[in-house]
Amino acid sequence: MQHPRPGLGENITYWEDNPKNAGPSWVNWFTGNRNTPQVFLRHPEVGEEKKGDSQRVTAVFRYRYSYSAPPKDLIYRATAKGIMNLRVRLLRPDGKELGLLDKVYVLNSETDLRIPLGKEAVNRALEFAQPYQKGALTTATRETLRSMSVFFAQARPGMLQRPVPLRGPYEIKVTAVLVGKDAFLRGQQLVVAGDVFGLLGTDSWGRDIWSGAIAGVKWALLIGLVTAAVSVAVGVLYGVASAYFGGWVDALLMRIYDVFQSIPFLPVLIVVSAVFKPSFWVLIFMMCLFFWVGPVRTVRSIGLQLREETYVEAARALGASGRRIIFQHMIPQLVPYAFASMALAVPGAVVSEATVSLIGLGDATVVTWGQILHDAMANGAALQGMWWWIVPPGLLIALMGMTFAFVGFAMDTILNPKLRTR
Amino acid sequence: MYWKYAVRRLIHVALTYVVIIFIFSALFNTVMETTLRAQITERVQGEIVSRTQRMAPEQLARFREERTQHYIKLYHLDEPVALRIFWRAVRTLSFDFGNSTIITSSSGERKVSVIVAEAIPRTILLFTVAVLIDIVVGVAIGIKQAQKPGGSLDRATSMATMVVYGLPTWWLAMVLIMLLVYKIALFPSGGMHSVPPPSGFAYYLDFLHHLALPVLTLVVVGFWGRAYLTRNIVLGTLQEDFIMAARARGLPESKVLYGHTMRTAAPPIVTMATLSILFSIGGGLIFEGIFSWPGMGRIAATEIGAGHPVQHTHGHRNRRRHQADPGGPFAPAMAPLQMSRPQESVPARSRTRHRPPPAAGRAKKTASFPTRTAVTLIS
Amino acid sequence: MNKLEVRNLKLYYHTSKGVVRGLDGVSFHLDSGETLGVVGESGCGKTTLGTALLNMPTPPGRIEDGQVLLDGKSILQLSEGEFRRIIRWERISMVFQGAMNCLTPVYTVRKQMMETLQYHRPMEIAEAEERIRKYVNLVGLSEDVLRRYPHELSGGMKQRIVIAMALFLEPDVVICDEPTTALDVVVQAQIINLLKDLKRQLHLSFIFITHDLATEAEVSDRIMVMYAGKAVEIGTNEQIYGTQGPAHPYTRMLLAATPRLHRKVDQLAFIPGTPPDLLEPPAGCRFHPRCPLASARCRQEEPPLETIEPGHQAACWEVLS
Repeated sequence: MQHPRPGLGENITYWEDNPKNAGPSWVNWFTGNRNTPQVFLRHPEVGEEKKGDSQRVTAVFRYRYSYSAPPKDLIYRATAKGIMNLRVRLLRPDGKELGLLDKVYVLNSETDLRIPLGKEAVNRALEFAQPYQKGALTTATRETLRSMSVFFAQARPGMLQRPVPLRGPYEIKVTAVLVGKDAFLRGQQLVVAGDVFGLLGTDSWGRDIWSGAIAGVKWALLIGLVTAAVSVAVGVLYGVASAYFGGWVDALLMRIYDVFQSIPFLPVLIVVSAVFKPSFWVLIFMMCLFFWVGPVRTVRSIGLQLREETYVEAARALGASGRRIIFQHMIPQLVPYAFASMALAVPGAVVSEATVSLIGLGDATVVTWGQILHDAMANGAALQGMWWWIVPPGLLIALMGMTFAFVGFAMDTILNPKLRTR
Repeated sequence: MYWKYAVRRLIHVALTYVVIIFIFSALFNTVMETTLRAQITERVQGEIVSRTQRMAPEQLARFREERTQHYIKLYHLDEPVALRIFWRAVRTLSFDFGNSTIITSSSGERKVSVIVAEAIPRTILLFTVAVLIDIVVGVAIGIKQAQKPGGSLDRATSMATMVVYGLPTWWLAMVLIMLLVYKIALFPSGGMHSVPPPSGFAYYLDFLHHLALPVLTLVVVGFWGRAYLTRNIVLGTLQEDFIMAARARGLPESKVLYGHTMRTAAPPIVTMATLSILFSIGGGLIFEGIFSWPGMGRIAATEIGAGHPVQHTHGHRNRRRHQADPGGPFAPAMAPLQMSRPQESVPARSRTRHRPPPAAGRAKKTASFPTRTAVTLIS
Repeated sequence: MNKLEVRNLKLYYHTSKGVVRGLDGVSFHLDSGETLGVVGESGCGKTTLGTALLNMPTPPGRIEDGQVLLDGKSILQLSEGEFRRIIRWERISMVFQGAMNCLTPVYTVRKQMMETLQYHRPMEIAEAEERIRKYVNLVGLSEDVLRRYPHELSGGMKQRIVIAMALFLEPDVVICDEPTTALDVVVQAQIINLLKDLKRQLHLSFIFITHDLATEAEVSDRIMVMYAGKAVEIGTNEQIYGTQGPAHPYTRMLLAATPRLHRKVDQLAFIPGTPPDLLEPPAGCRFHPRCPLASARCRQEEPPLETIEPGHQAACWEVLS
């Protein structure tokens, strides 16, 4: 597994608690609530009591468990300062209560706490399960014990080997006694770490794919629109100029066009990136450099026809300069076509960027759908059947392409009356 | 009568090819120089490390100098840039690509030209077969669409065309592999043959089995664009006066459609088909990679993956050492293929002699940007 | 029995903006060997009539009502397949307006003629060639036009080819839709003469559609004047063009608008206003907005086409009274 990318800038702990390679939570509808979805309990009932220099802060987290697989962990997070005796107890639906944690923390400055309770409570779990086991627990069992399986299972014989889920309301009671002048405890959260997460699951680092997908929208739009607009604008101007000036200018421009058109995009990009990894804008620039050739031929042939129009002849007779004729008379005729071209060029640009990112040549600091797919491939998502990592980004690319295709094809139909079907 | 035109075009193609090769040469040179120098430093460093114990510091410094110079000479880095570009271009034009360290052909050859010569047919096989199926299906459906414009087939397929427009083929490949290879084991996961390949008739069946999924993926994404284009062209033609006149003469619809309409609509459709076939030769780098298809794309992918754009051959001092270009096998091979498309819709194989000159205006208007993008997206 | 009889033919175009009444109840007859000229302004329904008789209304048109009887037998209810095999081109053929665009550009002339001929009358190639050659010569062209593509021929030549094709199956009725409009005057004269010769030689019935009154006068035996999808006057050549003058005000004004060669005129006469919108034709007589003789009755009631003298019909309240 690769290192998470540097430069992503965010608080790396944001996905620390998320399960890795977890599917979307709505998968539960189809599997009959087999897996535990990740839940963030952020609003406990908090109680505070001050007695001189010490305070007693209590918090009660309520959680309803109705799944087959136990949560992976219960992670307690808070920000605190001072000398703190932290006690956490779990109240099960069957009325049994156990202690999960009883520890003293010495915090001289404001500290962000992150306490995975599962590890802390292993011994308690053993104690709890012991009475229901015939005979002593083997070392193997001890070592492979997962405390959460015990806590969320029905208390009965064989609960270690074949745990039956105990469904119902649970309460996690936190009692903290703080000593110290500026001691405080705040921002208490309990994360129920699950097997499935969110709308689109997580990737190998636990990052929420839904957020990634949404983040990619703006990049896709940016790349698509900028590339399409610039390349079509350049292409149209180029084609019109070539058509209008004719003669050797036309011949020269067309030869240059031939050369550019024959250069394959991907190999050159690969070569260039062997020297330096292209940044986001360099990538856009390079795409424009290749995509401008698209409309040139058609625009040129339209331009050639426009040039023969009587109004162009009249304008020339009136002494209009070439520039004026091009911009006043010819370009306006091409604007509708240009817009249709731009609309239809956007999907191409988006897919190209995705392709480039997929093979790892894209800008790694930017979250685009192509980057997500690159990570997916690099972490063997296809082999592991992690469809939630692969399908959504591609689907979104296709959706964006489809949107612009609808617009572009509609414009095509409007521009070319022969294609109307009514 | 068209010979003069054809000859002129060929000369253009040749000239453009030479220009491109020079451009590539210049490009690769810049790349290679940087990495080469870095590599030389590395190598020399490596050589020094093993000798630090035995030699004194000044000796080491001299040694370093010597070795660096040796390598610089070896890779001709001491020659002026222009000269190097020139010679590289010449070598490429004479198809002398040198050897590769990381890839061998199936016969164990290291000559890049052999490797490439082996890989190109495989790429062509995959993509051209797909394109041919594409064209046949696409044109057939396009004609049907044009017969009843606005009808249910037309609307449904137009919708599908737009949906598929922005769909990356390699992504669909990934999804289909997940579905049809890992979830339901219908197709093999990649490559051209099973390992070890079966013999006799089963060999060909096995090959087809491996060919099936990639071709299926390509066709599923590809034929819509062609159908849409055909539909538009045919629809445009159907509105012409002479079609109405043909119908008025009592000719049956099949004759009107397949005879008069298709014959007239043929030039742009043939252009599209020919362009598609030629573009298909360019293959798809990513696509081949996903299916581990041993074609041009895989070679390029391996080259990239190796990270070192430059390799050289060890030993055999008596042989002149050439360098394998990064994408070297790829680009020069691609360039002529990219350029050999017909520049205009010259009807090369019309049976009739007095063919009207290529209807440049009309053909261009219909082979519009959507085509171009659609065709480019295919590859 | 009349060769062709049309009764109350209605053809409406169902467009997205509404129903355009291209033909709104047209009735006339055509005798064997006779040429009926159909005149009228642009948009009056002349070409629509032609396509209706071939049962090929331009989409989105549809024949709503009426009957067309060929030799007494109704043909509009034949299925498309039957109509195509039996009637179209076999018994009714058409010479199109703008023949430049009516020949398929990718087939030679010979191929197009042969195709049509062989489809309708399968025969030996030699025999087919014979017939094609005969008609090509008949229209005044040499045989090497057969080898050519349409774009290699001039406008006049193309028109002749189209005429030849319309004739070579020797149909009963030939509809000529503005056959000379797209041609220059000299060629026009040639074509008109040709048509007159053919009429004499082959004894075919013609329907000659045009907006050019002069050529109409040359070729037609009888004239039908159309306005806004209806026939407003039908009469013999003499009755319409003769010294007595036509009956219907519209026809009178049409004739008055034709510049005279030998008379000095300070101002050309014209008909004020424009042809009506066939989406919502005016109530009563369709011509009343532009008619100097319009009365209150004209504005409310539509005049029927009535006989005013043998062989002469008109639809006008002023005339009928």
